[in-house]
Amino acid sequence: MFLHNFKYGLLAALRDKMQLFWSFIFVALLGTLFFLTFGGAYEDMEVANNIPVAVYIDDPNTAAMFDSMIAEITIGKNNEKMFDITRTESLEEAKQLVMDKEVIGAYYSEDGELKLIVKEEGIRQSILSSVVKNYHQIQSIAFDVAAKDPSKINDAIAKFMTTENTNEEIVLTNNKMDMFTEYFYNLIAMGCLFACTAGITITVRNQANLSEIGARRSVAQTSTFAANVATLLANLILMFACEMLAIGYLMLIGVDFGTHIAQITLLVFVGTMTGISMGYFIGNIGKISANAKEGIGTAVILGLCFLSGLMFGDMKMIVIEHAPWFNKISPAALICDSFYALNVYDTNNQYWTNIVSLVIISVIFAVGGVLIGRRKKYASL
Amino acid sequence: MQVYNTLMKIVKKQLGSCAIFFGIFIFLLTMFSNTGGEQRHEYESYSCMLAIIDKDHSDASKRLSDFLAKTNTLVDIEDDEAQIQTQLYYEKVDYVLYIENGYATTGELKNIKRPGSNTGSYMDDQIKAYQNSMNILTEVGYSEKEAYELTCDAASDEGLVTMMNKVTSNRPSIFYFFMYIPYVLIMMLFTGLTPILVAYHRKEVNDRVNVSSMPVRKRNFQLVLATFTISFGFWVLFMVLGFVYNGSKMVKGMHPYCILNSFVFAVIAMSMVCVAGNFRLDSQKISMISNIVGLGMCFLGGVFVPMEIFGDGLIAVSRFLPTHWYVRANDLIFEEASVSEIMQCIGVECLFAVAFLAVALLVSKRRRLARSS
Repeated sequence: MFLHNFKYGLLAALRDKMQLFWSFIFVALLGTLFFLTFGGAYEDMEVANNIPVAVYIDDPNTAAMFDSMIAEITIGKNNEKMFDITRTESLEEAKQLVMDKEVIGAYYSEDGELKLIVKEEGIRQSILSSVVKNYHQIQSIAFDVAAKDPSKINDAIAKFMTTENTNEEIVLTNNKMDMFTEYFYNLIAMGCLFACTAGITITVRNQANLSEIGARRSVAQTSTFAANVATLLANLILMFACEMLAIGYLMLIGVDFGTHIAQITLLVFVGTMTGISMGYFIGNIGKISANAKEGIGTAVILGLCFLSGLMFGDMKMIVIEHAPWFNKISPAALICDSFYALNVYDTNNQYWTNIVSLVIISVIFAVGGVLIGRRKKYASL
Repeated sequence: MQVYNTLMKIVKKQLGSCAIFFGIFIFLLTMFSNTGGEQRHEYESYSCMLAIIDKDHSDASKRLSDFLAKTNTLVDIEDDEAQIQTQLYYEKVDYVLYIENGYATTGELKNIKRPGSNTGSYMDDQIKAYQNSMNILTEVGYSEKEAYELTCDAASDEGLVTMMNKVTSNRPSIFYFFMYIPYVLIMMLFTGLTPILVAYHRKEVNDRVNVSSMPVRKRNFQLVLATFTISFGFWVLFMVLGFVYNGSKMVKGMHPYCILNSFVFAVIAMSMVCVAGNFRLDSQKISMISNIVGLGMCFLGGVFVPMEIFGDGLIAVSRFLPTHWYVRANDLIFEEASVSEIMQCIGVECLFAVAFLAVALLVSKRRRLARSS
């Protein structure tokens, strides 16, 4: 009988197109939109890459100093050149390249001074402006050194441009610290928790006052508990498969969920289990209509996802600052934090703590649902 | 006005669902209500979020901290690895600088930054330039204090960098008010208006109305009138809300163009709903389609995410969406661009509205012909 219930539970879930839409298509669609719009934003804005720049310096002294300065500026472990230089025939041509966003900025000389023109502000423009600042600093230092000891000017300039460094970097992690991936973690958390609606549907189909099938089941011989377990399991497997498909699709288009596939699979399974058990609990509360229960479920999920940063990235930090305890009991935050812990920290302690928390929350909801929903009697229907 | 009144009765049933989106919009408005800043032409360098953990507590370490604080934003942070990692990840801090014990004599520093980041290399450069300058000047005989003052004077980029565009440090709240209108208008009109149109285009209802004494032209006129009433009713509701939140700013300067822009977008949203209204859709399908259309258009059109971070390919795709032109017009209005540029964008939006209405009429006619044959 368990297998019979399991089979029909699975078939019923497969035919529930709305459930499949929200669990798979909606997650995949939103993930695609996230990826298209800000999927490459971290690389573009934060990762140090070659900066395209135009140069038109007609003063030979300024040009010589500029060339020796930029020769020292490199990025990455392979010491690649920081600037991708386009030398132009005129200042107007350089300005046009800036205007057309072909380059980030244009260096030019004016009255023996190195100057910069940019279209807008930003970190890459600031890196360009630091060259101008350094050039200006070298000139000032030469002037100040000459006031004390003119023979030391050349030494001073050479020393200013030295590559010696007393500022040592402490590397906490070599993993990518892309804040934008947090949105994808939240999206998967939302997908897992949307299994809540499946949990609600299962309980509605068991309640004689809410559905015809519930009325039929309430007079059947089969144990309600056994039937519920079979149907919940069938839905859990289907919802889990939907989320894994969504993750697989997102990885295929280029979203980076990291390399811990086994841990991610376990996380999605436990997250989906939390979603279903939450729905089972909400579905068993009181005798309100099925629509009202679904409304409560959706509001709870979206509320939890909002607080973990799905709609507004800074929300997570606001919660960490004002109510850090909340992230330890919110399933959305726990799922999201587990992804974060896997991909940013070098140890898995945080991940396993979160998995245990999610399992405890699932058990509390499931046991609560069973206790509230058992032995319901109806005087009339 | 029997048809008109019936449609109005149906729309009343959908108001609850529409109110959810109206509530979301008010929430977004409240979030952005405290933003705003002056427009300026002068260039300002990027201000990194910098945390300094001073273990030396010497005059030299204090001078370094003061120097870096001039151009960066200092952030308090505990010397805890997990916390630093979290703050770096969420971009609450860009660079953590440890001024080591004995810095005054050894110059030894340590730092934590996002691996391979622009902000990290920018801060490295500032610190290196400061230390080199201080070392050179003190070696040739300047006192620490004199060297510090000369270094500070030389480290300015004032007048050396020119910026072509005007920038606003923070957009005013009225900008966000108009920015998010497309999403809410699409969702509200799809949720409120589509079920009515679907109901009237349903075969059974259509056949019943066709055999009634009411002329088809009169029925269609009332149907169009009801569609316009609901669409513009929603739009007027937003404008009233705009006046409540922004007061007279709504009609100051270039802002009346925003009102015009949003009005044209309301017509576009209405015409898209007219296309959807021709198909047999139940409430679940309407919800699916509205989410796909609303979120898709708003993400790809630049409503939710600024178009500056889009790649060239995505911008090219985005041009085929009316939201792209709406957002572009909105940006131009707040950049105080020329009226002709703004009107060009609004003109393209009008073409979208006409195109959607033409498709709606075409689909309607084809379905009617298919039924009659």
